[in-house]
Amino acid sequence: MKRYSLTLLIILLIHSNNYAQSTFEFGLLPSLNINKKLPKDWSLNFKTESRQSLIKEDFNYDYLLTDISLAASKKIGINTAIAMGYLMRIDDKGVKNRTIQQITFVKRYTNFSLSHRLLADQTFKKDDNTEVRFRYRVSSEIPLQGKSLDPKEFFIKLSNEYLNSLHERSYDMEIRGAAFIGYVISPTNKLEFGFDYRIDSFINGDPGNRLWIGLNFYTSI
Amino acid sequence: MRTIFILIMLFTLSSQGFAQFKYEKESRVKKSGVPANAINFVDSINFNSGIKWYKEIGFNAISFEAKTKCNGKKYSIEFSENGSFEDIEIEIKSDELPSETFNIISKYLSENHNKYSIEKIQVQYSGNKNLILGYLLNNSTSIGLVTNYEIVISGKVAGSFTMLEYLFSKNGKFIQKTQITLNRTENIEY
Repeated sequence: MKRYSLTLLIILLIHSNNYAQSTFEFGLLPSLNINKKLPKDWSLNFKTESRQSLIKEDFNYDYLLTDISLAASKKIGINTAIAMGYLMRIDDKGVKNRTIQQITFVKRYTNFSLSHRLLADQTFKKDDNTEVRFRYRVSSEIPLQGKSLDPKEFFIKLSNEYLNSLHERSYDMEIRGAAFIGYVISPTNKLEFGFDYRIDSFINGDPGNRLWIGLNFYTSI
Repeated sequence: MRTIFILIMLFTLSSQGFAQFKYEKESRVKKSGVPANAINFVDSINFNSGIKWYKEIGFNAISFEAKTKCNGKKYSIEFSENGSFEDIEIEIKSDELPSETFNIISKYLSENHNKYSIEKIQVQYSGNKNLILGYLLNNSTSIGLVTNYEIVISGKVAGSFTMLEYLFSKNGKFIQKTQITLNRTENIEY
């Protein structure tokens, strides 16, 4: 039964891939996060991330963009924080500006932590209409060597995000799924390595599939 | 744009090399890595579900902890490094505390925190291990046991949200308070 189901699934996937004019891109997505705690539950988050394409139809290295962002966050409860930020995206075509508002709920369970993030962002670019997005992401961090995550221990991070985009009266949805393996270097430093898969344009067009190898470094100063 | 990213990465990584940290570590251990007297104590209780063993390396001491569930309640039994029994903690709900004790504890917490919420309550038994064994096997009462209540609350300290672990006696008298260091979660927030 299991073999039959698996064969059917593979046939269906191959069949649907032959007819859909989907695109596929594979590349690198390294990022650096610097966090600074401030008094009265305020904190700052600086993030820079670069996107580098390795395969798009053929193997072809292409440095796509750099994102630089800064967000100010305020804890409004033991598990809840609100944040506002600004992101600058630099690519070959110029600079995009993005404003960000988010609320996060982080619950620490006995064996794992779970985070829900609701985020709205607005992207502005010269000679282009504003793109507005509403996003929801659920992420979990699961320690691999005990019930809590301690230094010198590994963990798994899983996340799933749904992005609703409105741009020039056109709606699109993007879905992201990521799986990372991480290591706690010290109480203030974490390193993660894994895959980040994204699909968009699947409602009214040809799906765009992108798979990124992520390498994230988080540090607190 | 590539240069900006590389420069920021190099600057941050190079400044990390000199930092040193002290830490406490808790990790899962196999039964074979636990002192025999600790295993014998837990096995004699006949819990009806699996036991998970943990080793905790603190600043000054090493301890072993057995965790399990029994009749819907979470049990945590702590032993010293050589397997000597230290205490047993059972998670309970607030209405399982004697109402007079709970009122005294609530009054104390209200006087010390403008706003707080109870995250977890555990009844803690320590003292003579044979008396505790007898009590857990329903052969005796809790008379003679050292009974305390460990209560974890969330609230504000010096204007910041935090979690605190309080220990009260069975009559609701304050014994000690410890601030819990929360793990950083930026990697699932941003």
